[in-house]
Amino acid sequence: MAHIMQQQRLAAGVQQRPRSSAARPVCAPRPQPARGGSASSSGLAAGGSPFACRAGKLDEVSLFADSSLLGPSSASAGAAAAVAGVESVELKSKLGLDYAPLAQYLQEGDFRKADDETRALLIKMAGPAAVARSWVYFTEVKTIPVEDLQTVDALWRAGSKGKFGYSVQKELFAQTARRWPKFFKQIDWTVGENNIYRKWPAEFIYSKDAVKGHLPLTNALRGTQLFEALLGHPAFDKNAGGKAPGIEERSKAAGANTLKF
Amino acid sequence: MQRLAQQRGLGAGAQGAGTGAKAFSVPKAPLSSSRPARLARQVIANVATGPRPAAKAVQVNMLDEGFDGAGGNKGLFTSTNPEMRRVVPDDVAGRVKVKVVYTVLEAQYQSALSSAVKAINASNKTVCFEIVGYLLEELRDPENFATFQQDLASANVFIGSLIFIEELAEKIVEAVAPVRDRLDACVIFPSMPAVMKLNKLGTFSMAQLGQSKSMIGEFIKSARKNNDNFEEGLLKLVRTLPKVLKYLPSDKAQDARNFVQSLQYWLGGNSENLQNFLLTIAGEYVPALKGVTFQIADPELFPEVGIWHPMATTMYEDLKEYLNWYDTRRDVEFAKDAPVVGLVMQRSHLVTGDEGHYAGVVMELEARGAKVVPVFAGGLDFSAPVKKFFYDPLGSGKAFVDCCVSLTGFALVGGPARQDAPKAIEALKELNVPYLVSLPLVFQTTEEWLGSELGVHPVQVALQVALPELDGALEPIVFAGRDSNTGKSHSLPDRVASLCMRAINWAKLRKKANAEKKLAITVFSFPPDKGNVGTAAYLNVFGSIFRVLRELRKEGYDVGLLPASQDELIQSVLQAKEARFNSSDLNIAYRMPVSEYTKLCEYSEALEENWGKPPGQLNSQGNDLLIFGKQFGNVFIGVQPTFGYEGDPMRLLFSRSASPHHGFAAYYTFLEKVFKADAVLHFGTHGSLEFMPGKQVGMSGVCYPDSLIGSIPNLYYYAANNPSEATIAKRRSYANTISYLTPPAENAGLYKGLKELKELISSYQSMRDSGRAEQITATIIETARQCNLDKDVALPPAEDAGSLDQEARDLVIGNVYRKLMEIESRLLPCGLHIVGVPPTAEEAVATLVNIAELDRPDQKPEPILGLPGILARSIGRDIESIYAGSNKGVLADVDLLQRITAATRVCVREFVKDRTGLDGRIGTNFLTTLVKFTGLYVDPWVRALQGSEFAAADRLELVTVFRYLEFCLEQVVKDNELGALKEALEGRYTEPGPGGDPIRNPSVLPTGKNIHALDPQSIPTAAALKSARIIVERLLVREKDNNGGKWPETIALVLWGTDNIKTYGESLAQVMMMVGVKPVADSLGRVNKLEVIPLEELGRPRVDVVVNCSGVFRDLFVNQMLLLDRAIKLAAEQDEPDEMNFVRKHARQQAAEMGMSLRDAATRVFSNSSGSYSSNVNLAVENSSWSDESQLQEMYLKRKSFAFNSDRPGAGGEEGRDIFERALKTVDVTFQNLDSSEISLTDVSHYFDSDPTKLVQGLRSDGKAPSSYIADTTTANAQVRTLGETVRLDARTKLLNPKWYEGMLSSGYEGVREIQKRLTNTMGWSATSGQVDNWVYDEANSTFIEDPEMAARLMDANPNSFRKLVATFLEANGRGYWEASEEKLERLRQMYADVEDKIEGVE
Repeated sequence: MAHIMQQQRLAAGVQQRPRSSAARPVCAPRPQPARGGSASSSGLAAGGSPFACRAGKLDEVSLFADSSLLGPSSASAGAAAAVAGVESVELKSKLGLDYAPLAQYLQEGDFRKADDETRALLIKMAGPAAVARSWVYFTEVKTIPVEDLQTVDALWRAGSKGKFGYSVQKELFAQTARRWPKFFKQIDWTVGENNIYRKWPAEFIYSKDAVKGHLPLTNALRGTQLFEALLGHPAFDKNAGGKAPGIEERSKAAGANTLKF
Repeated sequence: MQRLAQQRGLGAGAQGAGTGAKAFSVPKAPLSSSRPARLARQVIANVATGPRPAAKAVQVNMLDEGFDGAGGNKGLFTSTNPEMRRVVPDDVAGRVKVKVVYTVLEAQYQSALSSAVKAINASNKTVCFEIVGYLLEELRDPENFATFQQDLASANVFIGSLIFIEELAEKIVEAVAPVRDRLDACVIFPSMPAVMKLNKLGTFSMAQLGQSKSMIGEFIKSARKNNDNFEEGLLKLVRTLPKVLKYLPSDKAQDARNFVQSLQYWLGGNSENLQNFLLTIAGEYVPALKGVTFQIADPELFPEVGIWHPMATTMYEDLKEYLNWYDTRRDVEFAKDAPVVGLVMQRSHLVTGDEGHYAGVVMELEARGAKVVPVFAGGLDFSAPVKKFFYDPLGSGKAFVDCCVSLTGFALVGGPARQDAPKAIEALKELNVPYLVSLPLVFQTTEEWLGSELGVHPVQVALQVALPELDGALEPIVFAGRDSNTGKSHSLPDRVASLCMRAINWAKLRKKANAEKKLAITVFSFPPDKGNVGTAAYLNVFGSIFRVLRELRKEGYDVGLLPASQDELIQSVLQAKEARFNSSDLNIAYRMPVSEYTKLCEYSEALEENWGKPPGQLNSQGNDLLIFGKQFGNVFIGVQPTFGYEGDPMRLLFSRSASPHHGFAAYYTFLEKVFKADAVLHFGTHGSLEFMPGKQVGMSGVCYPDSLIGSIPNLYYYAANNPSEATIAKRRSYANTISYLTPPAENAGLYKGLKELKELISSYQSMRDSGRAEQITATIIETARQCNLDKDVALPPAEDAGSLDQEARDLVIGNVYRKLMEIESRLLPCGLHIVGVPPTAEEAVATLVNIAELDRPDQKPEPILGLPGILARSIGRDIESIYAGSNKGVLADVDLLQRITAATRVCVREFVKDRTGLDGRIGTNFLTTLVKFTGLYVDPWVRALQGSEFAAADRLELVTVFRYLEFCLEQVVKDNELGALKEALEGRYTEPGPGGDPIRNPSVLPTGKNIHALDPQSIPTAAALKSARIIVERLLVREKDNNGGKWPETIALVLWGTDNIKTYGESLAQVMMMVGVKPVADSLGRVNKLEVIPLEELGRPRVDVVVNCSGVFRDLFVNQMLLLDRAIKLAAEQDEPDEMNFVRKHARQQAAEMGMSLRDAATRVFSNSSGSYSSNVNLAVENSSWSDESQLQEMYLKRKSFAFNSDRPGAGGEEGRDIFERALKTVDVTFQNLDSSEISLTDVSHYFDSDPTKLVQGLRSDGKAPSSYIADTTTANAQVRTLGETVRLDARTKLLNPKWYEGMLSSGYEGVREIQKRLTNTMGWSATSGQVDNWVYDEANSTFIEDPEMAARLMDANPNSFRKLVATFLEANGRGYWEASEEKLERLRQMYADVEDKIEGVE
């Protein structure tokens, strides 16, 4: 669906030739895409595609749909064991977004849904243009308020006892000297001798068995700039809340900054 | 002798780099170990590529599924499953179900079609669709093909698009043609004509394509005739046809209109358009839907060309409008002087929503601070958007972009169907910025590419690497992967980063002031550690660098305090004069502590597997890695480290997994991250960077050439005559090559006894009828024997001279004369070239003479007759008959040919004199101008022939040939070697040009071009086929005559890359001729079909072959190897008697013995395994690191026995030693070709490296040595000589020829190395073929060792090389190749001790 939208958007600026009356009118981007039956075959994750869908139903579901449309979660193992701490996270949002569903999934231990919800939220946080486009351009990340990103991150950390979350990933990214191949290996997004990427969504691990930093997934279909912008967001600066980084981490980060590769 | 042994161990491997080496050993990428360090290196792509099907969605089994890149064990390129693309309606619910089968090249349509069908199935109440798609490559799999046929049997509609691969097109026709009548509709978009003919929409068809008077048929016909771009033409038709159709009666035109509209829907490829397309076809042509009317919108059209940006809400059709938007974006801010990168994209990816890889590049560039202008075209002529959008919007005519990157993978004009390189070059020259073409994966999935040693699929290499190279494209970086399920493209993050950094660095060259640019000049050192710093084929390296630096200073570059002379420059790099003896005295430019190295070099951990922890033993001291070189201002002259394992015999044999050593990595890390070079200039042919392990083409992030060069733009001065290896450098190390001229050639001339013989023959001719003839004949016979000509010419005993009649005497003299002329006229490249110094007029003469001697029947606008042919006809003779007579030794013909040659030389010399200025260079001759003014001017060639026996030569033909020579002369001296470098350093486009032999192909000139090979699909050409036929006939007849009238049954031969580029596939065609099969071009002019030549026409049996291809040939021509395999198997499968078909005879025997099918038994095409080059016999010989010949033969068998099988095209070379050995057992003849006068048998180590003569002897059950022949097509009168003859000819014209060795010695210590190398290579021939005469060693020994003055000169000039020379003589004796007196040996031993002392004394 997202792509259809995009085409319309593209077409909108084009000098239209006369069309038959049966033609669908060229329309401006719709603010909120409806659940669509198409296009999400393009959903590359990684992981992470903006297009969520479930294993075996590859082309059915758009991530932009509310996650409630995903139906029953398959990753419900351990869901009963609610994680203490998620409730204590204050659902601050400068954008007025509702983080309750995310909190709910994390509380239930349904990381699969939480992950889908997170990517959907990210697009909403990035603004209407991103929603219309159905993916986030990396320059849009800096407009996201610190509070909102911190809320999402805090929920993840709380829901995973500190194992998952953007800030966790950021720390690992610095530890691997900001080298993507190493980093992806570290967070277990690649497997095998050739370090082939896990196929989204089925091959990622939506449970606490996953290694530190494995979740949430961020789309790398269009490269790593979005992910990099996220990890570089002020929300995850050492002094922007959360615990202060150790001296070791700081020195590593400093060393890493000399190298942009 | 102990010292000798030591020397052997240390003796590092010469790589033949000094003379345009053909190939050498490259170990393969490490792919098999599981050590942690290695795993870290194995991170190849950083993206998940979409969901796997549920059935397979288990995480860990990915490894078990066998992503081996070879399509599982079926030997195919892809193992994807068409079932992924099947969409079946969940619930038909009483609707009409229409089944659609499609096959398209453009993977981007897969998911768009799936989603279109799902949308219809979800909402339409009347109709639903089942759809299934087959990728072209999948049809190679018999199972898939069977399913394809089954699907077609129940299909309503078939859709095909962009089917341009002949063999797969045939498969589609095979499957679709039988069901075409039954299908309701068949829609084929631009494809090969045979497939286009399948089109069927009601009354509309293209079945008469090219014959009928139909508008479309006529159009296509005329478009093809005009050599226009077929595909472009069709698109033009689509744009104009609707207007025309309006005026036609609607009922008649409706079907044609539907076709055109379908194409419009298709090209507009979004989901709505595709839905409407499917509904249109179904509604109009599926009988069950008759009478149903769908609400169908007209095609939504997109601009033909435009600008697209992921952040923009519209496509722009005007650069100004785009910039109005771009410059007011608030999400990013760019520096004022931000580089601007122009991106070229395919519209179909944008409209089908498959733009993830494009968006990835746009984001990456902007994140790195570059502005972008991403443009697209709907068709395949991308020059249109380039012309429209990449120029200054204010109309200054200047380029607005600083670098142009095509993300399409296609040539700029014409795509896969019909390329138009001249049009592309014109557009790119005008734009004049660096031009990069990057590749999205097309035929492979990401996993398949990652796992493949070949890298990119060979068909894609042909279409998307070789063709863009003809446009001058740089850097074939795979930047986008393809998802196995959806077929969609996605960014490969590390590749995208690499591409973008490189593009920006190219762009920066246009922005930066010259004074601030940093340039790293890199020189080579072969063999390592022996004072060979600055070696390159035919090039005076330091002389050239000196010239380059002075030139750069003029252009404002900061070159610091430039030394006053070339010698001082050498010394500053070598630090001290003595440093030439030992590399530890090289100037240390930088010490890199291990801590810095591991921090800066990202892949250092991966090297530990082979070399341990840094710093290691090479290029290191204490805890530092050493960078050798010297900085002058902003220019750094550095010495590239060597492979580091040349002297290690075990690694030579098993060097499949290796890596650069830490010192090597440190060197390039220094250039990129410490020195921060804006560009690196590799100086001369060639270094080892591009031969480092990794994929063949389409590097991934763990391929070493890619990691090493990093983000630095790479310029590479490369010898114009070596297009094959230049191509490797371009593809693997992203080099922009700049060609340089090889040194001017001279005729070898005669010396010593040979000169005397020539004089004696003159006397004989003047006294032929006198009484002294007998006596002179006796003297000639005696002298000829002293000159060892008795091996080449049948000489009666001198005392029998009296008993010969005149005819017999003439024949003896004629044969000796002919041999002398052959030696005399052989071309030698003299001395070493200096960049930017074209030859003087005098120096150009010999080259021009050879150019003038060749007939050029295919020359445009008119054919050119060779000068000898013209002269021959002026006296009523045919040059071919003179050649034939001369070849037989008919004295009158030998002499006539000699007179013709002399007259040719005089004509050319007179002509050149006319064009020579006072400075000896080509220019205006003042006198000539004056004479012309008086009206008394006579054309120089007329002047030259006046009064001679050839005075009657046809004036018009002479004018034609000299007009051509005039052009060639201008090209020879019109040098752009410095110009092209300066331009490239300023971020301008380097014009491409073919590499090759300037004599055969003068368009190699002028030098200073970015060398390209050729379109692999274009060879062999008709001309190559013609000369191949001549050579094969001469070879077979010669062997038959030698062998009691018996045809040889099997010929073992070698195919070289450069050879086939220079001759447009002559040796490829030779193989086909031997087995009696003819290559045929398809309708697009690509050679990919075969035709059996009937035995009646062949007039002889089909001769069996064993083909061994060089590693470079394999890299460049994999598809041609598969074509050969098909040809041989085709011959084997002919039902013909054994005695007339040796291929079949042997294959049947082998099939029975080895228990395999006839087809498999006819496997005859071999090479190295992927990523490995040469048999390494050369390195073993050069390093004396072998014990006996069987060890060399084992190396050959082990490394060269990888079979290529057209039935398993994706498998690459598969180990096939059994069949290789079995095939060699029947070999009667071994055979190779010489491709140019510059590189002969002993100039490089590769010819003997690939010779299996002794090996065959050992394998044959009768132990008989096969005959060995060498074809020489470098001159107009092509020759097939025995190997022995050729070795002798080589020795006489080079090693033993004062003109040659004095020429070499004039360039000091390099000259000694050149002499020593010829002797080593000669011994290599002894080792592999046994075809070196004792006298060759004797004569060499007396020339270089027994002449005390000479020995002293050699020792002074280069003691290391002299020591190796002396050791080689001793080794030749020790191995039994040279019988020498004890006295000679004693002298050698003494001399060895002396030179050791000298070297140690120096140290």
